[in-house]
Amino acid sequence: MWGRREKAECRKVRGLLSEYMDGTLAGAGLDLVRGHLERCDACRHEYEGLRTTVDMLRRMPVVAAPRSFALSPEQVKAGGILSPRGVGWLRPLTGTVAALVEPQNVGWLRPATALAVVALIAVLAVDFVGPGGGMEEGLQVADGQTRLTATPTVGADWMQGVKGDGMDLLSETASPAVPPVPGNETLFGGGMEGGMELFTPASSLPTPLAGYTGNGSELIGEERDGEGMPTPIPTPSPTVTEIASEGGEEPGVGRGMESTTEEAGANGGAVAELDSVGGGGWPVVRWVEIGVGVLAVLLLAATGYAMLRRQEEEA
Amino acid sequence: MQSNHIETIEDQDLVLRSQEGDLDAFNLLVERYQRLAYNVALRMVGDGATAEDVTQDAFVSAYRAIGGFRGGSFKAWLLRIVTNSCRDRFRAARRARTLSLDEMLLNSPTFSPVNGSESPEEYALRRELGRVLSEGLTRLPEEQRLVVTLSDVQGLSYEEIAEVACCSLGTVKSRLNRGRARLRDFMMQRQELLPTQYRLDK
Repeated sequence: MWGRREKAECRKVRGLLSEYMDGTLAGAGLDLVRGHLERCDACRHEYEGLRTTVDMLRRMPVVAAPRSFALSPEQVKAGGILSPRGVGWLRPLTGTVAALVEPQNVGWLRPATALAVVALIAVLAVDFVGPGGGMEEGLQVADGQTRLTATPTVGADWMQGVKGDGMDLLSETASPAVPPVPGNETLFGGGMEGGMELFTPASSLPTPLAGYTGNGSELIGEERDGEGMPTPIPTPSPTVTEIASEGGEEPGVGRGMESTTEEAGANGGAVAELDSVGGGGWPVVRWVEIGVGVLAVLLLAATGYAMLRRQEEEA
Repeated sequence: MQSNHIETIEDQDLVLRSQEGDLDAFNLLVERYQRLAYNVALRMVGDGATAEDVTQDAFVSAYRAIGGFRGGSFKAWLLRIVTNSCRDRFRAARRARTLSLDEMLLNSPTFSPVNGSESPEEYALRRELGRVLSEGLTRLPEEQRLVVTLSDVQGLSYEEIAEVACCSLGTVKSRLNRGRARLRDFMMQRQELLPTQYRLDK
């Protein structure tokens, strides 16, 4: 028992020998080392060895510089050395980065990185799972107009609410080769409110078809029969979204199809989000995601580099 | 103390002038600190020729970066740049595998040349001691080597070392303690090479 306590004290004292030798130790630490060295031969021997080593180091001569290291104007020019004025503003930045990746910073870099990653996950969760969210919707919102004519998968989504012969028509519309036609758009307006709402920019609420309300179901009827299909006329996609947005604004358009009406209600939040997209800017949450994401990546890189350096040092 | 204060003021003046692009003012700082910079580099890399390159690189880097120097100790700031230059050199050597630490040690400088009162035997011993010490220093981990060099070879205070090494006083103390202990162990394994008065097993 006594031996174990002695060993623990030896370890503690050996950790203080350097300070004791430099005369910077005070208080309880100083008393501990003094008392211990008086009764412990091993530690005294250790201390003597340390003192001799430091004594040798202090006797190492300071060597004269082998030559002058002054910079010549030619050397400055030839070396492409910029004027201090020109690069001064970079110094705080590079200095901060250099200080950040010091090996001793690993201690706080790791938890900071973990925190940033958790924050990123939290923000993503709020964005995608929160009210009016949904990753799929978000994606469609981001490039809804492109997908309307070019992305088959989106077309497949639209088909969920369509029954009967309208399927063929939808497939055509979703194909990149066939531009949207008014008849198809009407069909979407009546039968696919849920999907179409995603393409609703608030700034482009119906102008040419502003009077279009409630008769979508008739047109759908026609399309379903496969009879009244209008001649495909290339129409700019904003028209598509306009009609679609109408469908979103007035769920009654698709009254004849219960399932799609439900979808329209469920996606009300997506319409709101789309509004901000169509209005010309990203939602704040997207910027927060990017900010936290970039921070997390930078911290991750800094932590990795600092840990690598620490490993090198330990090796 | 008074002269130290004057030296600091002059440093600040020279730094200000250097920041204005005055190369002559910067070169006065070079003249003032090149011996210190070279010696730190020498103990860090363990090789005279490499230390010369490192020192020159450090002064070039210092001139480039002096626009961003925001006051404090110029000496500590410069030594930090010297240390970074040493690290760059180590990494380059490690990558190129052209100059190992052992190879550096073969060219390691030793104690200064024999003086008038010293016998050739004494000089030989002293030279051998310097070689062993240099080797021991070079074998310390980089951070410990820096702290031991600055403290025991260059005589810097704990506070100055903390500023150079960008770490806390506690870290300086612990690195110094571990570095010295490690160096002592290294020297103890080479007792036969040491002069009698430096034998550690007495």
